[in-house]
Amino acid sequence: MSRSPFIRCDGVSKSFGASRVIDSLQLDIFQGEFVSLLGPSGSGKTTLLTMIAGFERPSEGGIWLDGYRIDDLAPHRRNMGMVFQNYALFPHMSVAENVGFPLRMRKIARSEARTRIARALEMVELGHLAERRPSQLSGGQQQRVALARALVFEPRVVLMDEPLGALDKRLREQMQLDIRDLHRRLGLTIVFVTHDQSEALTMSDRIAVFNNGRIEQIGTPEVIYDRPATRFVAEFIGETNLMTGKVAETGADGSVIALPGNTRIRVHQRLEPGVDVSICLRPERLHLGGKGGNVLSCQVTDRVYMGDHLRVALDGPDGTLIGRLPCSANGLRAGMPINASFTPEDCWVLPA
Amino acid sequence: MGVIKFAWGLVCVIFLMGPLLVILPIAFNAGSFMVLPIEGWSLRWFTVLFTDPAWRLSIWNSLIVGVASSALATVLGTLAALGLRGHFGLPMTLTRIAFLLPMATPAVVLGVGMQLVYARIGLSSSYAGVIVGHAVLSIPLTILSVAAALASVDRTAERAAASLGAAPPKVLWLVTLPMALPGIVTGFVFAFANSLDEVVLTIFLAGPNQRTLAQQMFLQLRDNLSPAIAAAAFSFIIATVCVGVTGLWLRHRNAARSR
Repeated sequence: MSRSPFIRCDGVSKSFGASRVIDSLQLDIFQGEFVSLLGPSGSGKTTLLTMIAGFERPSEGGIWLDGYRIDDLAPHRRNMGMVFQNYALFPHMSVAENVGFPLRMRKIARSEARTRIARALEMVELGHLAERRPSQLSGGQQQRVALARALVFEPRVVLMDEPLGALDKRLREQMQLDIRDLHRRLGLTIVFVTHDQSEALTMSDRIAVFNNGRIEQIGTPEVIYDRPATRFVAEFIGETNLMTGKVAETGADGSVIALPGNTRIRVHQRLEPGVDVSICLRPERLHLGGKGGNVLSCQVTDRVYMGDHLRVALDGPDGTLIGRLPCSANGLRAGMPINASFTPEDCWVLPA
Repeated sequence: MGVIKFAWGLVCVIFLMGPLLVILPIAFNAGSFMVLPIEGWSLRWFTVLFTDPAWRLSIWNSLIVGVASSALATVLGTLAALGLRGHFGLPMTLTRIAFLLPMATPAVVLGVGMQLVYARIGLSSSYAGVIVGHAVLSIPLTILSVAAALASVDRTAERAAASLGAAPPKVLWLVTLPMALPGIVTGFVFAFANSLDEVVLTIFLAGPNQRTLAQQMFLQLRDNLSPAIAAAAFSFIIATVCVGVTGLWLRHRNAARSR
């Protein structure tokens, strides 16, 4: 990759008193990229965003924007749009005045500002509400105003701090698609903080998974979901079955892993024999029947009809397995013995 | 239960409002003394109040001192509240207490102290001296009122303004202060009412030329019981009600705007 990163966080640490919130963190973000910072609360993702925005200074390390070190640059000189979870609109200004605020700060001529405000409001489909006060709008509308306000001055980077966290599910999904669409259309560079893994999966070009002030893994949604680097990532993203065992033997087409209950599972990765590992198996990879290479005889302990699929809990030789089956398997009942199967390629092996 | 509650409420209201209601008819007394029942209806004491040089001067003085001292107290109190905002720990708590001290100090003590200092620096019996004195008494009120308003100002709105390109002074002027405006206005109204009311400190600081309305009433009460005092009290009450209603209206309008 010859491109140089647009935002570079190099060895960034942040401590508040004795607690280290971010620990020598490395992150490169490229121009036009949509990067999500995903992690549980307190994992340091918001602190990193705050440092990129300039409201906090790194305790160690540095942050570069387009080749320039910006650690000492005040927030108002960074030319970054920011969207907050609580919208942070100015209640004493109308919608149009809110959106015009960054243009006013940049002393843009009134006539030009008016066209740009109108265009920005049109973009978020709120042109008809320009004269309203923020308090007269719904939550979703307010967040659209905040979005328009953060985009109207064509910032170099847009930072979003859980922008959809306060919206209800339907609206959130709609806004996810809208933001993704804006990102594509305008070629924006977006850093998006969220604790919602499905939001990160649907929206991002790349996801950085945070845990305890460190990035556990950074990669495309596919990589993060299918090939998690650690148990934490595997468990935080989506639902997963983790089976812990030891590598028994390795051949040309993969390895065999022995589980404590004497089950042997074939995987396609080639691993060092004798090493302790965890096998990550996504519930939708589990099938009924005896084909697929790995077959476990289980007993159904629970089945829940979810509308588009059937969620089953199986009692296997090495603990409980969760499966996501098509609704055609609706005949399953608790207590029934079944065979659960999956191929070696369905498994992903992690360090234990 | 309802009846008892109502009766108790009524007793309380009568207890609080009674003295005010009693003074009102005396203002219209045709006779020369502050007595009840009055000797007939007349507006002669209002004429005295607004034409007699001593009364007129005192009304003007009250307005001048009231407006100037509340403006001063509002500016200083707002600055203090901004400075104290978001800081905790022992030194800041002590500073906060120091700022609020004038509220707890007896006005007599403050008066004696200020008189001594004023004599030194040549502020005795001057408008500036009275205005500063009243401002000192009002600053705790404005600090409390503005601090309460600032506590409700959303910090992320200020961060948003900064990220949108506003330098710190612009954030303060365009976002923080407008959002705290209701508290600042309330502080000003409190300060003004406080200044109108103030007698003890004024007696120490004001010369004959700075005599305020409240002080004039107090002195007249000692010399002769002229119903002009009641007329002044009547005007006082009306003015206070007007200020109060304006305050309520402003608050209501603000609430309606941000709804």
